[in-house]
Amino acid sequence: MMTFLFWNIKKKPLQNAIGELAEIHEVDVLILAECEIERSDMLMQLNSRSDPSFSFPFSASQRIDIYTRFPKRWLRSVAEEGDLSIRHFRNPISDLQILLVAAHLPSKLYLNNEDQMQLAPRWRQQIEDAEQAVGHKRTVVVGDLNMNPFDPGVTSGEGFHGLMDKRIAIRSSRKVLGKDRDFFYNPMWSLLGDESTGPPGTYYYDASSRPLNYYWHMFDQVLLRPELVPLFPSGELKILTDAEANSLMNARGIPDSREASDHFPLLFRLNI
Amino acid sequence: MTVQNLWGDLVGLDTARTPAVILQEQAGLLGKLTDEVLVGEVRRNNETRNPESFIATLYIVAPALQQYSVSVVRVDYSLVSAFPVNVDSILDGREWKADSEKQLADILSEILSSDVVRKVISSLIAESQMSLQD
Repeated sequence: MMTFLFWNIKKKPLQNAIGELAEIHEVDVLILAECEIERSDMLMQLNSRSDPSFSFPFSASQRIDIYTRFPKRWLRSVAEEGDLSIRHFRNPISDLQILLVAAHLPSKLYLNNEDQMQLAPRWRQQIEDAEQAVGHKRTVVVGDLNMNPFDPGVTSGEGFHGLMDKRIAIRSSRKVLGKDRDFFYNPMWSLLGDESTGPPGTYYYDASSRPLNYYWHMFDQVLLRPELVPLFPSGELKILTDAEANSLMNARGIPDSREASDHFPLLFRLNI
Repeated sequence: MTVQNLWGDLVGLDTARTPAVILQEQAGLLGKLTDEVLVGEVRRNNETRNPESFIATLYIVAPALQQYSVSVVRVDYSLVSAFPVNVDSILDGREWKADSEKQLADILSEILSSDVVRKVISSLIAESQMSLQD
């Protein structure tokens, strides 16, 4: 199993909680957005609890930090696209290769759904360019998309093209007005709402008197290309609400933005 | 039968430098300034569905790091008239609108010589040199 943890930590000094999460869940690849923790501090915290130890593979990304317990050379940087930091994982022993697209897309504070829909083809194109550069489509997108799974930027064929049903996603692609558009499978749909096994979303915002108020949002997401769907075990995608000693949720049952972050972390595993 | 020229006289047509051409010039300079440890590359994106809009992005590419590329500046302008042009500084999220070639040059100078871009160039050179020694 290869374990990934993504967390938007809202520029908070949460190294202790991150270290706990990495240890408890035996995280192999740790992806952080809005992280201002010094890399040396983060590594010290992670490595006081981990064997093998974590390292920080070189990257010029300004928005995403990625740490890994795999040898650094197994995770090389492919491209920095501002909102996307694209890495290529290759295990030279098994020759397993994965394209890891870590995303921190612009906030809904500055963009509305239409703006995000306009930008979505750009993100799609950047992912396709990277897939072409590495020569395969075993791609995982993970991060804070600042969109919900049902927003057009995530669902549209001109955007991420993320579907809720893996049986459809494994058909690989469909034609959209004459152009082939590859699918992603978006398992986050299964975690929406209060009948799911975890919290109703990863982010909570009470839009007060606005006519449209979802309260809960699933901004933090994982999307998988069809080739990786068979390697994605059921039940191994979780929204985390506590670390070892501390709850990441406040008394109201929403992300504790005072003591932790305004986002919950996301954990998932691939059977590789 | 001689084909009648319906194009008019194309000799001496005004071929003003477009924002993409200006980016390309800076891309070419980067290789010379870094002894080809880093090179600049302009990619014309076909991401837009608006046929009148033209988008070009300047990347810093590190050949020694398996062509690792870092996007730095994006320009977005109309095919009909190159100016005004929208300019995005990708590394720090700043945005401008340039009404002329001179304004664009000033903005690009501010972006390309900014601390954040210099820091990226510095770390890419260091990492490239380390990789070449391996």
